[in-house]
Amino acid sequence: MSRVMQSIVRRAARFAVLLACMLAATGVLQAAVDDASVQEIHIQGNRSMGSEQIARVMTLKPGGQLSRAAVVGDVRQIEALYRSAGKTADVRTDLTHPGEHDGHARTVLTFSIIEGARPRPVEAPGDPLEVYFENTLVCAAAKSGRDLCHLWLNRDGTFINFDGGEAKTGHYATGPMRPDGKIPVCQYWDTPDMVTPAEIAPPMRLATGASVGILCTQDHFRTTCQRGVELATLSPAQQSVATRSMGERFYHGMCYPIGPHEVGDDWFEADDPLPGELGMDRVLLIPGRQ
Amino acid sequence: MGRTSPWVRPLAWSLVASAGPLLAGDLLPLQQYFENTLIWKNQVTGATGRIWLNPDGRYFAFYNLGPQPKPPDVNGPFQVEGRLGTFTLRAEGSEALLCLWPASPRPELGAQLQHEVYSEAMCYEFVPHGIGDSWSEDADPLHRPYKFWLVKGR
Repeated sequence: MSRVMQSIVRRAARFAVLLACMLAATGVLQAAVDDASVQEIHIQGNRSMGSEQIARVMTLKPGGQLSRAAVVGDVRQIEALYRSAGKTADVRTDLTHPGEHDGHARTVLTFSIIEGARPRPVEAPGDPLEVYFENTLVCAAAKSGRDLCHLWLNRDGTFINFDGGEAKTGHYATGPMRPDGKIPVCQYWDTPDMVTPAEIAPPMRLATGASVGILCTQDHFRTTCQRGVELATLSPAQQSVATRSMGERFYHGMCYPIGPHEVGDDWFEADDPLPGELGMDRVLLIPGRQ
Repeated sequence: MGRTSPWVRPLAWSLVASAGPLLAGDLLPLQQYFENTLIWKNQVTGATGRIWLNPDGRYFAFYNLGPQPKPPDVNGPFQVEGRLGTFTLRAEGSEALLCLWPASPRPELGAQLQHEVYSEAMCYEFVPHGIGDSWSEDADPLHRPYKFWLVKGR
């Protein structure tokens, strides 16, 4: 077993023990996300075709079972519908979980249809992460648009992530492809330590004596975080997790869904564990390492 | 380290272009830099940055240019930027030069346009320091004052 895998397994085992303790403690922990079924299906985009007309060719229904195969099948049906009308359309899918951070997650599948656009293959051959290996994934604030972090994902399972304050190496583990085609990527920093001198370091740690924290848990390649958790309501083990610094959170692992994209894409991601402004993050895939 | 001499930059290109593999002896002045981080702040622009030097001759540099005048599109402008490449340490008379050769493809960075230290394909005068040291010097091609820290870890 490689050193990277040993480290992941070791930390996962530690986390499993901690998670069991937490489940047995207070009722703060969120209900798990369940993507076996879909509660809501949304159809959006710049389309002239009515939602009812599109829904008629789809097999997925609210309350029904959800799978990658069913999503791919419905995308193809929608593309065929457009072709039969003499039009082209690019159909993207996005799985989100509103209410997850409050413990009441709903599984929502959104089809975004851009009429007149070149359809991208819904099941492209090869590794969906391949495009990220020589390029740069930029996370940005949803409202101001400013870039906050840059991620260089490497083919060998390592990465470099840097922001305005720190640069960190780490390794990642990927989970199974989600129904919307995204790959869960769990990032583990090699160290929780921050090295920036205090004179120029941005404030990152919770203030001493803070009464609330951020409680993040990981389950099946998914990280769920709850902000503003009252520390007084937590067990000592949970308090230890909720008062972690950003470096400590990433050292223990944070999972982000990364979708199939092309260089030059600029999109919003609402299914992140700690979304920023407006409850989402802006994301860009830019060419090369920069 | 003093001001960069005017001849350094043109000479740098030829030095960098002919850079070969590092010899073991070349690495000695850099031992304290491996596995650690050299951090700086440009006292004029306020930009900060850091560089990792690896014993295999690769480097990674990261820059924080501060808030930009507009939000970026895929072509920028970015507040945060990074660069990777290879380096050599060259003796030039009594001075040492840290020569950087960014990897290809080499996107044009805002840090490079601002001539921030260690952002360009060139040689920079170099005086070794120890972990825990902090010092000030005029380090970039525009001779602007910087504060540096060599800190333990990455």
